[in-house]
Amino acid sequence: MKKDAEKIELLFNKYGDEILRTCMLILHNRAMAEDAAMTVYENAFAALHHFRGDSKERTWLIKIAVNVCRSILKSSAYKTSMSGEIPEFAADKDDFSALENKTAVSDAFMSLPEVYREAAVLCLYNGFTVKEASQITGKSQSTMTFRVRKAKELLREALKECYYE
Amino acid sequence: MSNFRKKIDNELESMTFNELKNRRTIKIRHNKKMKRTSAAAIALVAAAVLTVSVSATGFLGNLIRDVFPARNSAELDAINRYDVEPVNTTAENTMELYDLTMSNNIICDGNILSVQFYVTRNDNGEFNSDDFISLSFSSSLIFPDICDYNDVGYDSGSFSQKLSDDKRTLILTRIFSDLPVTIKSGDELYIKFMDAQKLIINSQSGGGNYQILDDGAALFKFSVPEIPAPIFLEFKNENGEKVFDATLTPLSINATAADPIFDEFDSYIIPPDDIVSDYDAFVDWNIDKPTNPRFLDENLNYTDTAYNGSKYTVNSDGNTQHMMPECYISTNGSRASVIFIDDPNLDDAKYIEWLGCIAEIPDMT
Repeated sequence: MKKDAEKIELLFNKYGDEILRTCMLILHNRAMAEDAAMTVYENAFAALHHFRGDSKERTWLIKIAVNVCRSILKSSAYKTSMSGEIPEFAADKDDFSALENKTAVSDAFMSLPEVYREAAVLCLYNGFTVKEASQITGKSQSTMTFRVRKAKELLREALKECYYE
Repeated sequence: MSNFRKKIDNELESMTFNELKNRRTIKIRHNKKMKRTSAAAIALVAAAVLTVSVSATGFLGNLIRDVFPARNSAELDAINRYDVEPVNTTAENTMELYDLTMSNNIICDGNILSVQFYVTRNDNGEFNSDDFISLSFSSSLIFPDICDYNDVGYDSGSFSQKLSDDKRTLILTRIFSDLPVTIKSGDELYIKFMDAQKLIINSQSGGGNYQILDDGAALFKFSVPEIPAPIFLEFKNENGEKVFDATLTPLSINATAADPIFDEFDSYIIPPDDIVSDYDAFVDWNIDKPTNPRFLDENLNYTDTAYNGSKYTVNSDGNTQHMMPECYISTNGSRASVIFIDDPNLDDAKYIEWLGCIAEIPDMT
């Protein structure tokens, strides 16, 4: 138990920031991204003894994060919060207003349609290959290729004033 | 490292896991040992019986108790005391700002359980209409005959919502899925909210239908309500060939595709908030082939609106090329029909297909 806890601590010291930011990019909601990251931590600890080393630890953790985010995306709480019925958590607004004009790229990612956002985050932010992203998401490689391609088109459009012109 | 990675890490540099960890208390599951044991134990029990009722008594109950020896005696004591001692709603060191009340909105389909709680800001607290509430919590579903399963269904999360005059009460929904035993109507179960002292509790309002445990958790007792029978649907294409069949329960839909086009068709747990009326089923096609859902009317003519009370929503970014359909199929009528039209604007030829689905819906009345 203690050994597992130490192992998880090491893993999250190494990959915690990436997991939190991955959740943020997918969920586009800071409070929920933080919840998701905490859930990843708990789930990883609970499942550590099931981890067989078939994939790299980082890939395994990101896969857990993707699954946690998917659950949140499907939740009524998320849909309600993103539909504007419930105001954004205050800290979010403060944080983002403070970072205004400094978060163009992450904003562009978070503005992608959900169907392309996950693929974009995995391939363009996390740096996974299409094959690795395909294994993480359970989608076919052709599907991931298509989604990344569409995501790039949308990102190019969204960021053209900042980076592409 | 990609340019995207560098720029995003730079933009989000204030978001670090260490900072988050310091700010929030992360509760590590203490059921790891139990989990290891439970897999073997479940296999053992499953070999003997296909379905284990949580109200099992006698030999089976003893068997389960032997396999899962009680670990938390204080919890057992609390459960045993529940009916005979007055509910103690006084907890020391509470914030005394919120009431936590379990609602009667309990939905169960045997394998998934959804419960709702009301978190109410009490009148004694200083109230500011601009206040935000942000609570973290974790909860356990407790099977009294399998005490050591007390962490099964462990779930955690938090929610935040602005408090205003008309929103003093927040609805908190917990869904426990993948239950290790089949729940049946009339079963008495418990839900434990950990660290309740930090979340709640106003002892004077009378809203708390719970008991405070020694560790500060709030223990709720409830009875599983009547469980409706599932509905089976078979969807056929225009040639009468089965496209997929689906099983609807109040909380889930499980579908099996006969056509590879739906090979990514996901099972789906339906949040109670999305249940409009009895058995309105939320079918999330979740396919990566952008489609434009249409419906057939009674005469099998295409229509933009759903037939007979059905409805659909489409998540779109405003560009029809990026639609993500979510189709609702109503069971209020005798038949629901859905037609999916793939977007002809897409350049990938394989997405340009037409498919019609017709399902015979059993009469719910």
